[in-house]
Amino acid sequence: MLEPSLEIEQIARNALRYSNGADAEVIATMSENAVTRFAENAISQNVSRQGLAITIRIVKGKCTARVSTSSTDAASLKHAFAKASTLVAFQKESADILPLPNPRPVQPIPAYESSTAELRAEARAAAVLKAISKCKKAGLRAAGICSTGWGALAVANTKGLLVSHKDTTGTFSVSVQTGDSSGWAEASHRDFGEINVDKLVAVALEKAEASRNARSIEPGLYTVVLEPAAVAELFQFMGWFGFGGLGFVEDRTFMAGRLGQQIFGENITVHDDAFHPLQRGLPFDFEGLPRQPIALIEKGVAKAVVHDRVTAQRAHAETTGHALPQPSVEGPMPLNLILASGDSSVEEMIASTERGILITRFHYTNLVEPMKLVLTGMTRDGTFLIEKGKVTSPLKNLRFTQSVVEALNEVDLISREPETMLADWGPGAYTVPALKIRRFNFSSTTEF
Amino acid sequence: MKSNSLTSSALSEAKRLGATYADIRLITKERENIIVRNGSIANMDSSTSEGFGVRVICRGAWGFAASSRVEESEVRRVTALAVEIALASSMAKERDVVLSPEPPAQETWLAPSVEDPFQVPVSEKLELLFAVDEVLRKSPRIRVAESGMRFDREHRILATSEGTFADQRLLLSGAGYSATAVEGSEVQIRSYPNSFGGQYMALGYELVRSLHLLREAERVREEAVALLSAKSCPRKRTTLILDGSQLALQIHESVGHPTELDRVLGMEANFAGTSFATLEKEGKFRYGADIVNLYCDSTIPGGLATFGFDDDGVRAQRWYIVKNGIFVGYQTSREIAGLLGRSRSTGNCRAEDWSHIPIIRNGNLSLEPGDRDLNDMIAEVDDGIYMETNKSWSIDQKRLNFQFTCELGREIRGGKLQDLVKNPTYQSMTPEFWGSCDAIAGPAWWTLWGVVNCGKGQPGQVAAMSHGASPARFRDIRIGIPDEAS
Repeated sequence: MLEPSLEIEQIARNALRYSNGADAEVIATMSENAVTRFAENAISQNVSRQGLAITIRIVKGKCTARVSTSSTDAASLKHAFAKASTLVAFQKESADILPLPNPRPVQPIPAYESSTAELRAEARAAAVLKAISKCKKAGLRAAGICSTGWGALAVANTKGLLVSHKDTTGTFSVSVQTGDSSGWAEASHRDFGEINVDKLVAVALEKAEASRNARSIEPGLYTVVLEPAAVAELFQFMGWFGFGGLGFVEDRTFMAGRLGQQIFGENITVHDDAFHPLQRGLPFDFEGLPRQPIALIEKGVAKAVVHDRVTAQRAHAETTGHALPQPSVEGPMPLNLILASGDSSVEEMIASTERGILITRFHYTNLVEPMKLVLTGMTRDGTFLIEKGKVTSPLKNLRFTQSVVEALNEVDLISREPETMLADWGPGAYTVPALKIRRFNFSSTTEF
Repeated sequence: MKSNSLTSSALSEAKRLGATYADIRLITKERENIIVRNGSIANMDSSTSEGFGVRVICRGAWGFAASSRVEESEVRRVTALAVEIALASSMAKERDVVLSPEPPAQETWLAPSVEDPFQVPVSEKLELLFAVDEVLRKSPRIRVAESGMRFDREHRILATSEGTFADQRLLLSGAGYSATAVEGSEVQIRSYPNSFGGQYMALGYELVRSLHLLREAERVREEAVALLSAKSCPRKRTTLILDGSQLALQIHESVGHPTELDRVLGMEANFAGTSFATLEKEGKFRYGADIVNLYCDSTIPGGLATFGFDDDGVRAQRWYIVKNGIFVGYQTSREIAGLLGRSRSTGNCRAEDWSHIPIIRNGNLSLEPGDRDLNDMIAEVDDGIYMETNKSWSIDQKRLNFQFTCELGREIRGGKLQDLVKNPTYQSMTPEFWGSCDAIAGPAWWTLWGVVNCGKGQPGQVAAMSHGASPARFRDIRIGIPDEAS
């Protein structure tokens, strides 16, 4: 087998040969992912999948159509181009359909560890067994995943553009349950060998034990200390509903009409940067254009949103290289958000809190209102009461309903050490520190 | 026995390598997805995905491997990989996998439809979508008009080492639209016939024709604009009437997921969560009021989880989850039913496609219609609220505390629908909520609603299912969100 980047480039180039003179683009992806899943102290599911997908798109004037196939044979590719031509033939012209872009230089991101790509099922099972053994010894139940895999993606078009990227991802995630409580920890890295499974299990065990016999607390406004996983959850929604160029030009995000204005506290600085050493991502967008690092918020001031060529045209700006596959209903999206670190720590945040709540992570967060980015969700896997600078008792979980825009105007402390979380669904990674927020609203509670 | 060379290769290779059970799914899935947005084509997609997945049990443990290269040599390689993975699984098992019994079957099954959506010209589809788009955008306050159609067809072959060979052809059609109105800092959306893409059923293009999309476009536009200046949802406890489409999602989240037996047994603890509907509650626990009856039906025509056989080869069935308000049944797979010594799986084991392992998924879970006239249900309410079409949903990891926001609400005063309410939100705890149900509208208001974005599992996979519901009334429910939230 060829080295993944070379192979995927070859597949993309080969597919373009069937374009028959049409203006065409190919996005080719190849991947192999394996997940060893465990629950109740046993491996419950153990899977491996290898796949290939080729999406061809033709542009004819201001009309476009996409056809995808999982086959690389000549007949399938000819059929795909013929189908795309048919789909284009019935369209009337659309203002948002642009000609294919010319090639631009792209800086590569080394992100491939062959040891992770080649990790076998037995090695994953051994890592899981380590976690399970520790939990069994403690009389507790472990659940989670150990996953490894690699992916390669290439974008090519008939204007000579050809870019590719390959990467590997290893993840270990563990939840520990007692009879009435749970704890959780997770880490991802391009090199699975860098993940400290023992440490993750220790953290999850400690949180589970510390969460036994949780007490109830009345809903209301509280000071909160959010660990990085909880912060990442909020930033996921900021990416989807706040910093994209399409919502911006349509005046339906908190950034609309606010560039140059103070919208968050001065201690809030947010970038999107696929090249950050702690980030995971593509160096180019889905049109094959270079993904540019961009300052979105500087000291609380709205500076910019991400654009593709369509929204850039409407905003009289330049593309920032954040296009999703075109044409796109969602518009451009930041996939590599980074919240700048501060000079504090979770311990210091706790010590400085008279009365508040320490939160490990959130669950089932969803958007309630987009302009103030009001979100709702539950706390999970380690929620604790802080009183007079100390964690005093575990709490039953609470539902928050809170404007993220308001919350980021009430950040008292930001930790020094960020962590990177991968998105739950779809591409994206969030490099964020912990935050202490003065007032955070909890609207109801649950029974556990 | 029915087979083909690829399925025979997989099963014989698995047996040669020592598997005590094996199955292979060969799946070809085609999709057409068209979206018109603000007068432009935002999506014109045709995709075909073909591949296969092999499951084996070796030394009492599962292994699964899948590939998009559908060739005999690859089938043998992937089968061997599945065995390797199963042997690794056996390093960390508590007990052997035991599958509940199911008689083998060799049958074909075809989703019934009248009009093949893939034969309807794209030009006709575009003409309708652009016509809707034009009506939606007649107000300058509509900043986003989005209308779309999606069609899936799937050829799914399942062959098992027990002798099952199920050859099925499934179909999905969906259509809908939304209008997003923006004024200052206010954003409001209205959709038809449902939010997040519309209505979906396992039918042909006859579904699209039955929706009368163009007829409702003006109303949808005007409601979106009117919501910009509507009053906010008050915060209080009151009588709540939900329309059928919102109730469908309520059923999905607060009855469907907690009764997936794998969740109950802790299999989803690390991601989606567990369940409050624990084993000792079966047959005893009061889930809802006496009038609440919830049943699962994999045979119902047009259901998105309607089939001949699930991915375990279990025949489609119909059974109760809640009967006269009492919790009586779960949704299971052969593995999970076998774990508890149950005589049969309910046939809820499904995978998104060839590349995913089958797991327990919500089936077509529906609320039986009642016997009430919706107009009478409203007329009996002196002070309450009516809510329609979901906008936001969230529920805790045991499926107890939930909060939903709808697109549109209307105050009920003196038995009549009155002022519009924006961002209408309600929050409750599952048994308390269903226990407060005191009226369910009759069959004339019952619709089988499609859900196409249900996510579960690690790695994550998406499944589709249908939930039937008539509007229903609930007493003393908390509505509104605190001012402190924003």
